[in-house]
Amino acid sequence: MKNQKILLLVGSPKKGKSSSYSLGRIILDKLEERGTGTGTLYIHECIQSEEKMSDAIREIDSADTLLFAFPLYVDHLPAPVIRLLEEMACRNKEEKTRKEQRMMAIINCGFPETRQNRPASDIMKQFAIQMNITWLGSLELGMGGFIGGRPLDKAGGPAKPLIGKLAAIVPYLENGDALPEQIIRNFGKPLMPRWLYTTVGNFSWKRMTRKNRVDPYARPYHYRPD
Amino acid sequence: MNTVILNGTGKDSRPDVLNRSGNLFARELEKKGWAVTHIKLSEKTIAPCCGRFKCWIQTPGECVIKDDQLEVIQHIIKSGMIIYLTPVTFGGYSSQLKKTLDRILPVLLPFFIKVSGEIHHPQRYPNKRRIIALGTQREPNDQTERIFHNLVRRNALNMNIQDIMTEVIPDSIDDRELEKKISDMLHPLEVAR
Repeated sequence: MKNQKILLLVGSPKKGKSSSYSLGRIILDKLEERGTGTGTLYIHECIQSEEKMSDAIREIDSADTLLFAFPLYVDHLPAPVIRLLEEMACRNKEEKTRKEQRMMAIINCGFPETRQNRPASDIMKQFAIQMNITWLGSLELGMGGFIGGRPLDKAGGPAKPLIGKLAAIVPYLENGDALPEQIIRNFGKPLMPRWLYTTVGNFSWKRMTRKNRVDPYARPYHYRPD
Repeated sequence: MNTVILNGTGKDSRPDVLNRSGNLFARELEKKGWAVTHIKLSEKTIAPCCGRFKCWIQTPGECVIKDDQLEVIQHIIKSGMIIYLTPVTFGGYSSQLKKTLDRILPVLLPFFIKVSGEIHHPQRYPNKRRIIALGTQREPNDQTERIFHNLVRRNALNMNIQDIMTEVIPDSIDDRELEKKISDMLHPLEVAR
């Protein structure tokens, strides 16, 4: 499928140093090995000005498949990702004809439960429906804090299986086939036991605040107790 | 008690419905003796969250980005009720409302606790709060309405809030209907007080 272009849209403020990029990068590497055209956009850069937004939308319009990758923020898409979707929908109303496109999302959250990504996945699907873009499905992942923005091959043992799981979805992206339920379920399996992730997480927060000599429980603002 | 109204009127929505709703909420609550702050987020400069958790590990409880979010967060902290107003955007919030919600991390602690069988973060401040979320949409859409209600419920779980109310109304609602809807939404408060 050498004549198609698959565009990775990274919705993390950490851009190329984010876990979202690390996850998407594995897929882009595989696509490029097979000769498929790829591109990457950092959404936080796209929304900085009208001009950058217009450039981004031109690039989005030229792609055959959109692969969104973003972290879960407060059960939802990060605000800049919503801003981009709003702009795409707004411009779509003005266009009479639209190229046939497909869309997939990779969503990762810092909580251990993969299911906490569900509302964000539902919202992406609704966007696709309203835009008349073919929805291929979403890969959802809990325990995203473990990746911590590292490339997956350097993120440690528990993250290694993700490399193979991401490579397995490449044919679906290229052929425009919806992801089977089994692949989605398999991708979302916990990277480690929940008790281990939360214990290490709590220890890390304490260690970092101790290192910075700050009180993690500080209440800097006035509040009125009940 | 204090209430903060976060008005997320978006670029692609009919602003009068949400602005009218905000004004009606404020009027009704003030009649009941609440102190109300109605914030129109489109008028505020709020940068995207930088995602580096500095508000947890470097300056706990304080965001390192100094913009209008400082004012919003101080209102949230001292409020017993937060009212979200937003066009239902693919089932979720508008980017205007979301830009402020992305930056509420300082009101939470970084640590993990179990709430209703799931892992979440505890509150930094002990206040009990309630959330009212009012969404508007042009055409009725069961799917997006369901997603919206579920999203608000999950947000409340994340902020350890049990007391929530959500409604989705049409953009075209007339004044009388809107007034009744808002009065009905606030009715449980009278029972609660």
